[in-house]
Amino acid sequence: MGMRALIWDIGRLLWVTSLLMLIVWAPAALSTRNRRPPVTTVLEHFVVTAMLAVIAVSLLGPAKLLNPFTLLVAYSCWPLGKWLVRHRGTIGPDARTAVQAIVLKGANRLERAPRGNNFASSVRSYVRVRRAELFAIADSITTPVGVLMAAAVLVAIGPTCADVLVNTRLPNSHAYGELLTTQQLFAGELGWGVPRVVAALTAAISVVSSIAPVHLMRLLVPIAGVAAFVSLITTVRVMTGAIVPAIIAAICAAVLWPATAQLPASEISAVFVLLSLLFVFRTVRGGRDSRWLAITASLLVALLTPALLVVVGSAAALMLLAPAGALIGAGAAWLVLSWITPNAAPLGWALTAAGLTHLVVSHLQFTRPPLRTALAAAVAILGLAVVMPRAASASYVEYDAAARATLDIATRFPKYRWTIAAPVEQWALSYGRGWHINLHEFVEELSAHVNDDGYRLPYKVDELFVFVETRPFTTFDAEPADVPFRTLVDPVYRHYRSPAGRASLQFAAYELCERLRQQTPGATVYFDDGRLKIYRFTLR
Amino acid sequence: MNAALQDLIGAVRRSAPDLVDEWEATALIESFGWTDERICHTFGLSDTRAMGRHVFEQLVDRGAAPIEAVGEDTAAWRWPTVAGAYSRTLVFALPWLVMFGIEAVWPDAFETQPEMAGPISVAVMLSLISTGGYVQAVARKGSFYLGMNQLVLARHVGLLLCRGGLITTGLLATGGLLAGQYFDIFGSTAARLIATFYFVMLSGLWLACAMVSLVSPRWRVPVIYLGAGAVFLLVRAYLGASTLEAHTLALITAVALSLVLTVEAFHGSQHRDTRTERVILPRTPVLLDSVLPHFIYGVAYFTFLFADRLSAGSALPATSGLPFGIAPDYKRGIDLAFLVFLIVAGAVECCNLVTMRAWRSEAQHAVVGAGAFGHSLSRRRTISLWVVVAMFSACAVTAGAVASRVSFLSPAANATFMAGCLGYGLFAIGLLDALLLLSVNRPVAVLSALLPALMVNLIGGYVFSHIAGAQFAVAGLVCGAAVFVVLARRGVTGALRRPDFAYAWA
Repeated sequence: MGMRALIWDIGRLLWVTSLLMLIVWAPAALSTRNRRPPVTTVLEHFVVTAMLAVIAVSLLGPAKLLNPFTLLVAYSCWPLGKWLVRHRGTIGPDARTAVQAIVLKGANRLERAPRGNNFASSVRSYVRVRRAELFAIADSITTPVGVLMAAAVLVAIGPTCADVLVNTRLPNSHAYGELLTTQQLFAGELGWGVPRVVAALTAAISVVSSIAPVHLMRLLVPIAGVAAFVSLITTVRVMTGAIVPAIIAAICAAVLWPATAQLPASEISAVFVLLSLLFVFRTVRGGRDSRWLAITASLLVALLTPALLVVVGSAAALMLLAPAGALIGAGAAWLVLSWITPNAAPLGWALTAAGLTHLVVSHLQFTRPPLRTALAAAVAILGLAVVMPRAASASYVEYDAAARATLDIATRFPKYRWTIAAPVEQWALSYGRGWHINLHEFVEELSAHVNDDGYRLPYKVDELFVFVETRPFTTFDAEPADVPFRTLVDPVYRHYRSPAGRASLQFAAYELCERLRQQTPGATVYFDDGRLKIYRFTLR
Repeated sequence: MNAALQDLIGAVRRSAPDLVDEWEATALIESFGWTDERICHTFGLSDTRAMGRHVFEQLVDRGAAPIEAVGEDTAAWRWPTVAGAYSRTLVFALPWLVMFGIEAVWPDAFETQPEMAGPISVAVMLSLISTGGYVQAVARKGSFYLGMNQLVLARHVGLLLCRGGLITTGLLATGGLLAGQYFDIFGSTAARLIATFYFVMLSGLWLACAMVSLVSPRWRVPVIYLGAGAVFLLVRAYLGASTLEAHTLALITAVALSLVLTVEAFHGSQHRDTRTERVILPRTPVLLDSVLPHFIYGVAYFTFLFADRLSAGSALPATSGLPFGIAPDYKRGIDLAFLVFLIVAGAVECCNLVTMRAWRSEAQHAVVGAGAFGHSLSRRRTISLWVVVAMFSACAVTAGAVASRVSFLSPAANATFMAGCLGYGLFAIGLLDALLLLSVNRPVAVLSALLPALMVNLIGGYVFSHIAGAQFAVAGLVCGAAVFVVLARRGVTGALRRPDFAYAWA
C-alpha cells in the first residue's frame, strides 16, 4: 500500500505541475505568438491568472457556484473581454463570421480527412518537429549556469519534496486550519469576506486538476518552492542585469531552505513578494504596463501576509533613491520580518547576498564577470549543503496512517454515508465527503449508555469508523511545564495535544469500542498497525 | 419527356404566375433542383437558361391564366392540414401523458435507485439537446426534398445528417465518459457507464424518429413509443424486473423498432421517386452552411426547455450524497407544466400554418399597399396570440384542477407548476413569433431572440437554484421566456413593417 500511495502521489505531483505550467504558459504563448515566451512574460500571466483565480473562487465559492465550468468561464473572461473591446460595435457580425469560418474549416477538413498512410506520416512529422523543439529547450537549459540553478533547486526542494511524498499528513495544525477553510470554500459554506488567497488558489487548482485539496496542500509546498526559486532568480537577474548575483542568491536560498514541508502560504507569499519587486523595478524603469502588474502582485501579498508589504515598500523606496541598494534593503527588511514569518529568512539572506554581490562586482568593474569563480564556489557550497543538517520544523499532530486511512475511507465509501469518530484533524480531511464527530464527544456521549441492554448506535449512516490510538501520538517531545489556563481548558489541547490527556482519551475510547464490538453485530477492525486501530461498525 | 416538361412548366407557373422575364424562369427552374446536366439529359436542351427561355415563351404564349394552386386556402384543405400539423406535435406529448397516467395508477412504477435516477435523467436531457440540431436539420432538408417529390434525395441527405449526428454522439459519449471519470461525475463508474449507454441509445432513437417522421403516414412514431411502453409494462409488471431493467429493455425495443420502421418508411423509395434520375448530393460544407442556423436553433430550443431541470438537479445539497437529482416536488410540478406546453405547442404550429397560408394567399391576390397588408397580418398575429393564450390558460387550469383533485401536487410542487406554466406559456407565445420568422426564412432573427433568452435561462436558473434553493431554478425559465417573447416580438414587428420585402425574401 505504501508503494502504491507513493506512485499515486508522484503521479499527482507531475500532473499538477504539468497543468499549472500549461495554464500559465498557454496565455503567454498565445499573447506573444511564440511557443517559448520569455520567462518574464510567463510570470506576468502567472500573476494575472492567480488574481483572476482568487477573485473568481472568492465570488463563486460562497455562492455555491464553484465548478469546472464556471471557473472556465471566469478564466475566459479576461481574453474574451479583450476580444469584445477590440471588436466593439461589430460583435454580432464578427462572431457570426468566426463561427461560420470554424464550421466550414471543420467541414473542409473532414472532406479531406487523411487516410491510412497519410495519417501515419502526418503523425510522424508532428512527433519529429516536437522532439526537435524539446531538444532545443533542453540544450538551452543544460548550460553550466542552467545546471547549477537546477541543482540549487534540487538541493533546496528535494528534501521538502521527499518529505511531502512520504507523509500524507499535514506538517502542523495551521495547515489543517487552512485545509478546512479550503474545503468550506469548496462546499460553499464560507461567507463572503476578505479573499483567502491560499484557500482560493488551492480550491481552483483542485477543481481543474480533480485532485483533493488535502493532497494539493502538501504538493503545493514543493511546487511553490520551485516557483519561489524561479521568481528569485528572475528578479535578481532583471534587477542587477547580471547572472552572478542570481547564482549567489540561488545558492544562498538553497543552503538555508528548510528541510521539511511548511505551509504553502509561506512559499506562495514569497513568490508574490519577489514578483512585486520585479514589477516595481520595471515600473520605476519606465514600464507603464508593469504598473498594474506591480499593483496586482502587491495586492496578493497584502491578502496573504500584509507585513511583507514592508519588503516591497522598502525596495520601492530604495529603487527611487539608491537603486544599487534596493536588493539589500529588501533583503534586510525581510530578515527583520523573519520573527513574524520565520520561514522568510532564506530569501531575506538570498536577496541581501545578491545585493552585496552586485555592489561588489559593479564596484570592482570586472572586464569579464567572474563566472567560473562563482560557479566553482557555488558547486562547493551546494556540496556542503547536501551533507549539512538543516532545520526540520514540521510539527505533526497525528500518525500518517490516520491521514491515509481517512482518505481511503473518503474514497472508497459513498459520500455522506459514513461517520468518523476521530481527533479534530480528521474533520478537515473528511470535510465534504462524510460526517465527523470529535472522539472526545463520541466517548462522552456513548459512555453513559453503552452498558444499557440492547443499546444500538444512534447514527443514521451506513458505516461508523472509530479511530483509536493503541499507542497514543505525542505532539511534543516534552510537554511544557507551564500552560496558560485558557489553553488548558481548551478541549483540543486537553484531549489531543496534551500527551496525558490524549492518552486518557484513547484509553477510554479503546474500552468503549471493545465493549461495542461485543454487542454490535457487523463490528470489525478495519485497520490495525499496532499504533492505530480503526473499528468499523456497519449500521445498515 | 412531355409529361416532365408539362410538370415543370406547371410548377413554374404556380410559383410565379406573373413571370417577369426568362431569367426569373431560369432561377425558378434551378431552385427546383434542375442542373445543366439534368436539363441536357432529360430535355435535350443545352442548359437551364435555354430551358428558362423555353418555359417563359410557353407561358407567355398561353397567357397569364389563373392556375388552381394545389392547397389553396379552402375549407377542404384547411382542417385536415391543421389537424395533421397538430397531431404531429401532439405525438410528443403522448409519452408524458402515458407516464402520468401510469404514475397515477401505479405510483411505484418508475421508482429507481436514487444513484441511477440522476444519471439517467441527465442522459435523456443531453441526448435531446445534442441531437436536437440534427433533428431540425433532417426535418428541414427532408421536407424540402419531399416537397419536390424527391424521396431518394431526402433519404440520402437525411442519412448523411444522421451519420453526422451519430458521429457527434460518439464523440460526446467518449468525451463525456472521460470527463466524467476525471471529475468523478455521478460518483461511480457504473452510473457513468449506464448514463453513457442511455445517452447513445436515446440519441440514436431521436435521429431514427426524425427520419421516420418525414414520410407519411405518421403512425410510426406513436407505434415506437407504444411498443416500448408495452415492453416496459410487461417486464415490470409480469416479470417483476426492476425499473432500471425494464427501462433498458424498453429502450432497446424502441431503438430496434425505430430502425425497422425507418427502413420500412424508405423502402422502395427508388420506385416511388419519379423525379430523381441521378443522386447528386450537395457539397457537405454547403449543406452544413445552409442548415447551420436551424441546427443551432434545434440545440438552443431543447437546451432552453431543459435548462431549469439541469440547474435544479445540480443544486442538490452535498449532504444528500447524490451527485445529481431533481427533487420529486419540483419534477412533478415542472413535468405537468411541460405537458401543458406540449399540448399547446401543436396549437402554436397550427396558428402559424394558418397565418402563413393567409399571408401567401393575400400576397398573391391582394392589391393593397404594404402598410395595410402589414396591419392585416398584425391583426392575424394578434388573434393567433390570443388563441394560444386562451388555450394555454384553459389547459393549465384543467391540469391544475385534475392534479389537485387527485392530490398529485404538494404545495411546493403547485408553486413550481404555476411558475412553470408562466414560463412555458411565455415561451409558447415567443414560439409563435419564432415560427413565423422561420417561415419567412429569417432563422438568424430567431437565434437573435433565442440565444440571449437561453443565456438568461441558464445563468439565472443556475444562480437562483444554487443561492436560493433548487426550486428557484424555474425563475430562470420565466426570465428567459420573457426575454424570448420581447426579442421575438421585435423580430416579427420588423418583418411585418415590410411584409412585401419579407415575403420576397422568403
